[in-house]
Amino acid sequence: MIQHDVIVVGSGIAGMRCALEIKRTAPQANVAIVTKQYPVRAASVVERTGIAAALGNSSDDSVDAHISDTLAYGKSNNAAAVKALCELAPAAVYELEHMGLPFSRLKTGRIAQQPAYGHSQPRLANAGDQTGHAIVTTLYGEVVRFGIQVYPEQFMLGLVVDGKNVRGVSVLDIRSSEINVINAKVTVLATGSYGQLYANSADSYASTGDGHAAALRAGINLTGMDLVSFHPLGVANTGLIINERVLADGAHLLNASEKRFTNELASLDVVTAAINAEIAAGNGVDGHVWLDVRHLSTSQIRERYPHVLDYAEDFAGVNPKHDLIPVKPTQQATLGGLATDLNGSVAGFEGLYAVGACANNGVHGEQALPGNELAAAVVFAKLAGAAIAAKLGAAVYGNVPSYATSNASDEIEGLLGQKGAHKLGLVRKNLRHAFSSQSASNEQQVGFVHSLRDQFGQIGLHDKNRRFNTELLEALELDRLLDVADAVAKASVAAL
Amino acid sequence: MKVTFRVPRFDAATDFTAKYQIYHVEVTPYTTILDALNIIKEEQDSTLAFRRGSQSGIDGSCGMMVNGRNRLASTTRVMGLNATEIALGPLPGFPVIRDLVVDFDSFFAKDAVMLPYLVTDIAKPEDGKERLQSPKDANRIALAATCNQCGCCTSACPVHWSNGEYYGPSALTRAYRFVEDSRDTAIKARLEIVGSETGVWRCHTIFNCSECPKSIPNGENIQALKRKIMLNKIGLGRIEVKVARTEATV
Repeated sequence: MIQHDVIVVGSGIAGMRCALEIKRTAPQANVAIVTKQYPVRAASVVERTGIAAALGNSSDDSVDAHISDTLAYGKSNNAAAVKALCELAPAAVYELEHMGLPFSRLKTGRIAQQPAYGHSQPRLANAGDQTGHAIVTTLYGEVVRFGIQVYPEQFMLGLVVDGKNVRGVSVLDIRSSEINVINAKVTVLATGSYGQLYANSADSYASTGDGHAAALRAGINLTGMDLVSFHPLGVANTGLIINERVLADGAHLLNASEKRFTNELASLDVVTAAINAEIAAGNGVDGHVWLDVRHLSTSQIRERYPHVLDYAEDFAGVNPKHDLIPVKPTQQATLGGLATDLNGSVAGFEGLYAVGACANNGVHGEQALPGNELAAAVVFAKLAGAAIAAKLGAAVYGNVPSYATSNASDEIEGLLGQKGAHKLGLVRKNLRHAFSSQSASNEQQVGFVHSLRDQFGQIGLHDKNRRFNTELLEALELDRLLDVADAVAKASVAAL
Repeated sequence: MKVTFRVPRFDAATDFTAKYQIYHVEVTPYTTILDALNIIKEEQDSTLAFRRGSQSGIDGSCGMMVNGRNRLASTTRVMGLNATEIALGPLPGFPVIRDLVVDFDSFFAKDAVMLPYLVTDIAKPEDGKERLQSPKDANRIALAATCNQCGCCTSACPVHWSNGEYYGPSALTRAYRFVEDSRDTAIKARLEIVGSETGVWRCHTIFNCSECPKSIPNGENIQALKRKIMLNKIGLGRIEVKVARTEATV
């Protein structure tokens, strides 16, 4: 058995930022990160827009303005969390800069601030249009500097729970299918979103809600699971998002007969609904509509949203100067998660924290203001790290119940032995289609998830090799995604 | 359109050589190599092993050899290759774990040798705000900083094939990104690392590495590092000047 003072599950922005804060505050602490990928491949990299912080570099911005924009956009936010976020975001951004993050700059040498949807001031600090990637890479550099141990390609099977005490996690080594228990005084879930529940998703393949499911299985309630936001401009066939600034700059949305059908300057949810309605009315093309940027100058596109050029070429094979780009609404963010206080502590459980997209402290309300997700990831992960470091001196290793290992190996052996007729890939596909933006009603979803859960019990696994068994990995992820799906569907029904 | 995929099947624990397997996949103009692999895995053969991540080429999980060139599966459209037969393979020069999955451990270990973090004597501003950097200086590192460590460059390097100790273009681009950063002052230490036995002098300017999915000119970056080392050796280096310029530009 492996022992660490703190085990952080997930190597995204929140996970690494939290681990770093613990190590910086309590240098003697033995902190490790476990991730199912390599750390630099964490799902946080898909976040292309900037990080919101009222630095006031491009205008007379203020923390108060950031607070009021956030409250207006999210509607039902936790006001104390919003206050903490907006007050601490500037320092968090400066800290990233001090770590060497390659921010885009103004002529004055200060960090540039981009305008964004829902912000009354230009407020997003960015690194080109790959801000999430830049933050991940920068934080990973710090993880190397501080010598924090990382276990790559280890899938978390579940939390090790003894009564109301969390004693670590059980993990599967993807390369060997060996099971290990990591015993820790403090366990931090930083496992990201459940975007893969949706057929069109801007999230990584890795975003399968593993931490959410681990919480559910340990008897921890999830909150806000129905809070999932959609973006109108997903590149059809991939779900990758084109920055909505193109709409503000005059890009048009066209239907099958290449006619405009909506006011592109309306709010994003209105535009999303209009596209869905147009497609539902049979005026789309193969389930998508067209985005027309032909009348925008190429230099403007290259400067403000260069990914438009890449996406059009890489995924649609078109030149946006001459051709239309196929787009349809896509899942953008999931806000539901473990309920935490501002320090990431999960109420009712000793030794458990949650940070990043798998945690829900109510800061975003009903929808996340652009750039606030990145800001919240670093701000609250840092607070959690500091809180953990302060408590660590008194914390002790608890006993690991013997069933932790046997439960984990039962799950793996059970799956590897399954010989049913249903196909894993098909169950996954059907699940994701049931949760696409034009999906069935929520009541139907609840029943559908149940029938898919039954089918999952009858899938057959064909790959019996224990070395890098990606079919097994997919089955484990789907198993967890089904738990998350159930929670999402039920939360949606309850919200009606 | 129906496209034929030829994919090597290999398990390092049991196999001495790879066996090739043929799959036929119906593709649309939008289908990427990664989509095709997903279709194969979902509908034809669930035992095929490959990695996938962001689906947008930004995380670097899905580097592989596609018709003789290293590419990212997620950003390569099948029809863009103008071929009805496509040969896939794991990134060459890396130990294969299984099928299209290779071992990146030594790749990331070399990255860590490059001190992949800012090292600087320039004090943080007293007000706690950002260190200043001109847009021009920021642009010097912007492209190199987009490296997603997919390994396509290092895997394409014949020197790396024959000498696994060579740091390789990806790690050296990482070093370049910090050497060129106006905020970093550890240039001496960095040049010593990249100028060592297993560093830039192993590069034979083959430039396979400049065919980068992120369009980073890795080969040129390595030559720039060589020039910097030589200029410093003959006393024409700009190590001291760099610090002064940082303060003067803004």
